[in-house]
Amino acid sequence: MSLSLRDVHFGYGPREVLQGVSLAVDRPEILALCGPNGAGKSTLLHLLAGLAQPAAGEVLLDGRPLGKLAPAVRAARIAVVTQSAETAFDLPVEDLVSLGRLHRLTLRDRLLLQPLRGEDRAAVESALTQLGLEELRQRPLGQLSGGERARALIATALAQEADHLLLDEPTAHLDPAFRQEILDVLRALAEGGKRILIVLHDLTLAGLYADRVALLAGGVLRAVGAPQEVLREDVLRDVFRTPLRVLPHPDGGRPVVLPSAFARAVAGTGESTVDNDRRPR
Amino acid sequence: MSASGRRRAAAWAMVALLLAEMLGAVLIGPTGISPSRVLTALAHPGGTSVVAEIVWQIRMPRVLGAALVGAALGLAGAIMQALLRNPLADPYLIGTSAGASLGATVAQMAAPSLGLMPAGAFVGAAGAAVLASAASRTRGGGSVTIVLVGYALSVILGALTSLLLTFDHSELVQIYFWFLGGLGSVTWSQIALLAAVVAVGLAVALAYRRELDALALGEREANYLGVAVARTRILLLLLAGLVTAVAVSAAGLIGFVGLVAPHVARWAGGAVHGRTLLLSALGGGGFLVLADTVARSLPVGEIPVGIVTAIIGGPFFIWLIVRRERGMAQ
Repeated sequence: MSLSLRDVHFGYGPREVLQGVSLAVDRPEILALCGPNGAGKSTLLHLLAGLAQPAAGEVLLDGRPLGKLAPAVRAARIAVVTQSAETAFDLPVEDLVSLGRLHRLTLRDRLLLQPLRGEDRAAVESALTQLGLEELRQRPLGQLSGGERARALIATALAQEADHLLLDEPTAHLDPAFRQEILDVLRALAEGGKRILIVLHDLTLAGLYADRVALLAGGVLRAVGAPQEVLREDVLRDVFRTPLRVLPHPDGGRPVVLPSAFARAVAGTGESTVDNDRRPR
Repeated sequence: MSASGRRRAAAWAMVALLLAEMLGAVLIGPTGISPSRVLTALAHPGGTSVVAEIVWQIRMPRVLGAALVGAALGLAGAIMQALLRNPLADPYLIGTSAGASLGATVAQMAAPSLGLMPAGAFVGAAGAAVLASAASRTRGGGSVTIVLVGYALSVILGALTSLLLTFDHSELVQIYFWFLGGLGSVTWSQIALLAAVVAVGLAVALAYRRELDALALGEREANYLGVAVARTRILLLLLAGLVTAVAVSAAGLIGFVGLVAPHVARWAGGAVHGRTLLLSALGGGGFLVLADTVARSLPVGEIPVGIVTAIIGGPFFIWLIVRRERGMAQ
C-alpha cells in the first residue's frame, strides 16, 4: 500500500511549481515536508490529496492513478487536515468530527434522519477520545482555543479511518505546548500504523518527530532521508540560502536547527534574528 | 437542561408557535366572525354556510399559503446560505427571486398560450442561483461583498424584466398580476403544489444535510471529506431555484424571509443542517403567517405582505452587517 508521486510536474500558468518530484508515502511513519516559502510544499500536498492533477507524471494510490477515484473512495484512503478550515457556521465538535464518516454515507443513511450508528459511531468516538475531545463534544467550533480547534480538525480526519493522513502546517498559530501536543498525537498515530505526511515550517520539530524529512526547494526535492542525514548545516545552507546552525538535542541527540544570529551580529547589524520561520507568506 | 434537550424543546416550541399563529390567523379577518363560529366551521369541512365558505375558501388557503410560501423561502435561504457560505444570503436579496420573475416574463412573452410561467420561473431562479454561487466562489470576496454582487445581480435581472415589459405590452396585464401575486389569491391547487414542492425540497435537502455541513467548511475541505462537490452544489442550487420559483409563482416577490428564518433556526437549534433546514422551513412559515396577518389587519386596510417582511427583515439585515463589520474590526 502506498501513495506516491512519480516524476510529477505541476504549474500555475507559465510558472512551474514542481519540476519532476518523486516521493512515496509507503510505510507507517511521519514524513515531514520542509522547505522555504513558495517551494511548492502545499502544492505537493494538494496533488497527493487528489485535489489537483499533475501536468506531467503520475500520482498513484496502490499503483493506480489517484485522479480516477471518486471522492468518496479516495476519502476512505486519504484524509487531509488543512491549515485554514474556517467554518461559515459554528458546528459543534462532535458534528464536525462526524463529517469524517461522510464518505461512507449510504442512501438509507441519507433518507432516514438517524444519527451515526455502529462502526461509524465507534470511529467518531475513537477519534474524539484519541484527541482528548470528549468533554468538548458539544462545544461550537467558534468557542475553541487554537489548540482545541487543531485537535478537532485532526479528529475529523482520523474519523475517516484512512490509512494515509496528510497535514498542512497543523501547528501554525499554536504555542509551543500545543505544537508538542499535536505532534505527540501524530507520533502515536504513526506508531499505530498511519502513513503521515506533514508540511512543517519548524525544522527542529521536524527533526524531533519525523522518521524521514523531505526538503523541497525550487520545485525539486533536494534531500529525503532520516533527520540526521538531511538536517545538516551544508544541506540547509544550500536549500534555504542562509547560514543555519545545527546542534544535537540534549535529549537523544536529534538535530536542532537554529538561525545563525551570531553571524549577523558580527556582520554589523547589531540585531539577532530568531524569527526565521515566522516570515509572512 | 442539556444542550440537545434545549434544542429539542426549541424545535417543538417553533412547531407550536407556527400552529398557534396559523390558528390565530384563521380567527382574524375583516368580516368579524366570532372565534367559536370559526372553530365550528373548521371542525366541519365541507359545510355550505357563509361562515364555512369564508373559513375554507378565503382564510384557510391564505394562511396555509403563507405558511408554505414562508417555508419554501426559509428552506431556500438555508440552502443558499450554506452553499454561499454566507449568513447574509437570501433568495430575494441575491437575485434568485428576480431570476424567477425574469424567467416567467420571458416564458409568457415567448409562448403566451402555453402557460409556461412557472417553468420559466424555475429556469430563471436556478440560473440566477448558479450565477450568485459562481460569484461567491471568486477569491477574496467577503460575505458583504458577495451579497452586494448578488444584489447587483438582482437589480440587473429586475432591469431586464422591466426592459422586456417596456418593449412588449401585449402580455403586460397577465405578467403584472403574476408578479403582484400576494397571498390573497392563493388557490387550493397552488397550495397542493407548494406542499408537494416544500416536502420534496425538504426531503432532498435533508438527505444532503451532511454535505451542507461539509460545504460550510469550504469546498476544498468538503472534497477531502469525500463530497462530489460540483455535482452536489448543482443539485442543491437547482433545488433552491425550484423552491424559490414555486414560492414566487404563488405569492410574488417577498424579501427577507429567507434571510431571517435560517438565523432564527440556528439560534434555536444550532448550526447543524439536519436541524437548520427543518427549523428554517418552520421559522419561515411562522414569520410569513405573522407578517401576512399584520399586513391584512392594519386599520389603513390591507398592504402587500412584502412591505411588512421588509420592515422587519431590513433592519435585521443591517444589524447583521454592522455586527459582522464590528466583529472584523476587533
